Amino acid sequence: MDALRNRPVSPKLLHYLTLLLALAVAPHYFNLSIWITGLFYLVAVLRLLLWSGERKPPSGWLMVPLTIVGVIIVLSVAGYTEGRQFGVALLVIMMGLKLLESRTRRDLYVIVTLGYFLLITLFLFDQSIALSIYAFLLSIGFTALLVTANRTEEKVTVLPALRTATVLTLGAIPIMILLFVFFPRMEGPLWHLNLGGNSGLTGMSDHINMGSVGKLSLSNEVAFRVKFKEGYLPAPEQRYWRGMALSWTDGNNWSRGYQRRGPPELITPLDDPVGYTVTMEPTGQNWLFPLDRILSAQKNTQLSPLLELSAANPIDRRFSYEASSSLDFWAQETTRGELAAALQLPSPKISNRMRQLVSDWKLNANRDQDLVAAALAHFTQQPYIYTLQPPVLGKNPLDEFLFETRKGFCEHYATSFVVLMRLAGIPARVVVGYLGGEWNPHGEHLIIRQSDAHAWAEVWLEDSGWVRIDPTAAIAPERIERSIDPSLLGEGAPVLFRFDGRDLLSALMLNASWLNDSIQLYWHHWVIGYNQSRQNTLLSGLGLDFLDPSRKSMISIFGTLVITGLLFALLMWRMRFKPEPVVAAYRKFQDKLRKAGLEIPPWLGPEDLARAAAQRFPGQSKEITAIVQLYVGLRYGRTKTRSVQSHLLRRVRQFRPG
Amino acid sequence: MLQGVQKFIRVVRSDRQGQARISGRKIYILPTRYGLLFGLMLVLLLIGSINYANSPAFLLTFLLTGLFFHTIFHTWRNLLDLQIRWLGANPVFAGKPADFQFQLTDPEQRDHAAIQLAFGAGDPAISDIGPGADQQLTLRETAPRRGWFRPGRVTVETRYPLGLLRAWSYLDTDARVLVYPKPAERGPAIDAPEYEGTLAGDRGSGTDDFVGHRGYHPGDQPRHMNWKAFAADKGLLIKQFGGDRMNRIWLDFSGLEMADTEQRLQLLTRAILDLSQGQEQFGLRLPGQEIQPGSGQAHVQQCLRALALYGIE
Repeated sequence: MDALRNRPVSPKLLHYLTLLLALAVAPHYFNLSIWITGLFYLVAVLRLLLWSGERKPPSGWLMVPLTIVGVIIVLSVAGYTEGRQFGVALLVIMMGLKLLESRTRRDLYVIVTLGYFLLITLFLFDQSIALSIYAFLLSIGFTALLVTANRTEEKVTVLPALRTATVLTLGAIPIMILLFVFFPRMEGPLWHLNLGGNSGLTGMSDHINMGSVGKLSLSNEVAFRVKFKEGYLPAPEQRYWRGMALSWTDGNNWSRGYQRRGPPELITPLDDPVGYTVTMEPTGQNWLFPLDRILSAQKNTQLSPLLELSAANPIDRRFSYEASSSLDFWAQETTRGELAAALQLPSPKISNRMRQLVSDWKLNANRDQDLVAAALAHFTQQPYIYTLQPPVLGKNPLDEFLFETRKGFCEHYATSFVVLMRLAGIPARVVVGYLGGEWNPHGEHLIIRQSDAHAWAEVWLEDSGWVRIDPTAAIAPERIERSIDPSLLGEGAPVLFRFDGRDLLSALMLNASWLNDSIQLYWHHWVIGYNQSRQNTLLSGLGLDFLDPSRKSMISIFGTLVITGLLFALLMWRMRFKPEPVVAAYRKFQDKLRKAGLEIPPWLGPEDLARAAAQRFPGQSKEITAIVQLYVGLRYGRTKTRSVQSHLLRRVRQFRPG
Repeated sequence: MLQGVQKFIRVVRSDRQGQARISGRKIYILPTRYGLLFGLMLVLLLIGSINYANSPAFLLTFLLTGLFFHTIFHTWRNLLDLQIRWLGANPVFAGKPADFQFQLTDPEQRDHAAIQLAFGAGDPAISDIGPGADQQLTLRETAPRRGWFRPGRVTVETRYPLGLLRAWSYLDTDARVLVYPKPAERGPAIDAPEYEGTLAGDRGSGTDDFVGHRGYHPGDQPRHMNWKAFAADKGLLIKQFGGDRMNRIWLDFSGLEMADTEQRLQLLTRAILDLSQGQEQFGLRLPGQEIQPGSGQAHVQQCLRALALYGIE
């Protein structure tokens, strides 16, 4: 029988409880309908305003209709189809109602259990390091609630409870780490729920039109990070992250078109392969962006015949893979169908001006290479402008761009270049991906942002095979060397590029952002991306590669018990051999009195002891009283300062009874 | 069967000074109902984490798992080294609650929060123990019948700090209380003369009128001594006082007519309580026992004790 369970919750505790719940629900503002979080806060405020303090919380007759209203709101706002949103919304509403009717300490147990659940649900929407720290701190707060439910004081103070909860939580960390490392991970989910679309995610798509890549470039979000093996770093002009090859077009839109099945085409590497690990941010798509040109990637990815890499499942959470690429290569394998697809022309959109332009080039060209050079020269010699915010194009964007507006972003140049090449009879295709990457010296990795999104071309030359041609390089060579800084973009303004910080402040800022970025990468790599394969890699690195899932479970269970035992031993040892200095001093004082011949029964309190000792040693009565008063002050009172403590220690040391 | 189990229960016993110290091996610890709920919650959180392959969720689940295991130690330690001493209990009448006083200390001077004490399934008392906290706990238990009442084994327990686990120890103490018979209802029967052996106003002692002298007995009050006679070398004489209002009453067990012993004892208890309010001196005669007439708190208690233990000791 628990003597405390029916004690009422004091107003102060109620305030603390409400604050804690409000903080726990706050991040769901971004995840749930405003109706759900709004209703929760309304209920919390009502509880504080109407039923705070002495007044009893609302009784059952009010709770029943409120519960019905709450469930109806959840059903109408969240809907069942969205499993995740529905469950979390229901939890938030239940929590608000429980807060409304809480009156005794027993209710705290229910609230804390719901609170822990609520903290976990935060991670369904966001797994960042900041949110994890936030949830960790709040979990200490909830644990402190449990402590207050178990304290005997009628009016509970929160601060000591928080301290106890912190001590308990810190002691739990070794077990947490052990279980996190060893608990067996599974490859797929236990069951499939509709986790909700990733509609808000940005990323390069496998169909583009003029303007779509430019839009992407406005985002400063990280697309992926790359860590190279053996400290290798490709030169900036080699950092092409090749995504999809787009061959089919109607003059407006570009897509991959018909895809044949088959093994990836062979390439001949001319240098040593480069190994690296890519950590992708969620995109909701399967596409991956390895360094151009990929040689091989790990098992759970696949390569198309055109050497486009994709993951087995859509990337809904951070995803890491290892790959190796060759920077210098021959790509001489192709098929007739592929070459035909690379010559497809959107005939209705081909204007006479375009035909005229190409036939002029043909007059002076002997080889295909000359035609390529002529096209690139056209872009540099004519007044083309490289801009992220080009004018809106009409029904025939190719013609308008080439002959009228002449302002465009990389996809304008890439697509129009490919169409011109096809007009000239050279097989060509658009390739989308990313170009560039910012070197993070702290984490020693490259950061590729959405603003690095890029489109370029690949053309088939008889004696060289598929060759990468980047028309953007002709019009804006800086683009190859530097990333775009989206924050510096104005309406219709020319593109500005990132430059390394020149003054101290911007250098510091850049360093801080790099440090933050490498912490993020470690978090992604070792925490968020810690899956079955990474667990196996880590364990085999520790020489534990013989562990199968059942052995991992055994280690988890026994390890937990062993750590509990070790913790036990450590804390007992500290308790036995390292008492508080004040207690130790008092014990020494008692020992001195005992040695001098005073009987001290164990239940004798300090004041009684002072009386007895003063009677026995009248000569030292003043000293005895002083020591006991200091001790009582330090132990029971509020005089807990260092100077008083050392004063007590000195006096006990000098004390000579008898 | 139960006896067999009882043999294996570890019990803390008091030493010669009446101190019972809880050592580590005498502490039992098991999850509470909330602890089981917490465990169920951990299982659900784990299933969720596995299903969504959500690493921060794994971390939080494992942190709470660690919290549970860490709490085992803190709950256990909260009971460790406590010393419990039974201080005593004042006699009560049967059917009334008796207050048993216990003193809880820790020779190591550690704080012990929320220590709960109870006799078996009785109402618990709870308090913080240690420096700066109250160290006495009172357990209230209703005494069922006259005689010595032993409330039995004490359970010392704690759920601090999180209420997930309950650590407890069984404690054998000498705790007992003297239970007087339940006083009979006040009614006409009390005033009836059956229980009064003699009511005659003989030379009863009082304070009003001088009656005569008698020889000194140890314990006589000095102010009743005849100092003049002492000075005249007539030996120690005690002035005796008597009066009409002074009665000397014998309460006689065998003088009561009803057959039931307990009923008789209850009537006598009522009579003693009533008489103790007045000036009368009264004595008590029980079969095989006689308490000379007297008055005052000590006398009343002596009589009640005799009634409480009649036929028992």
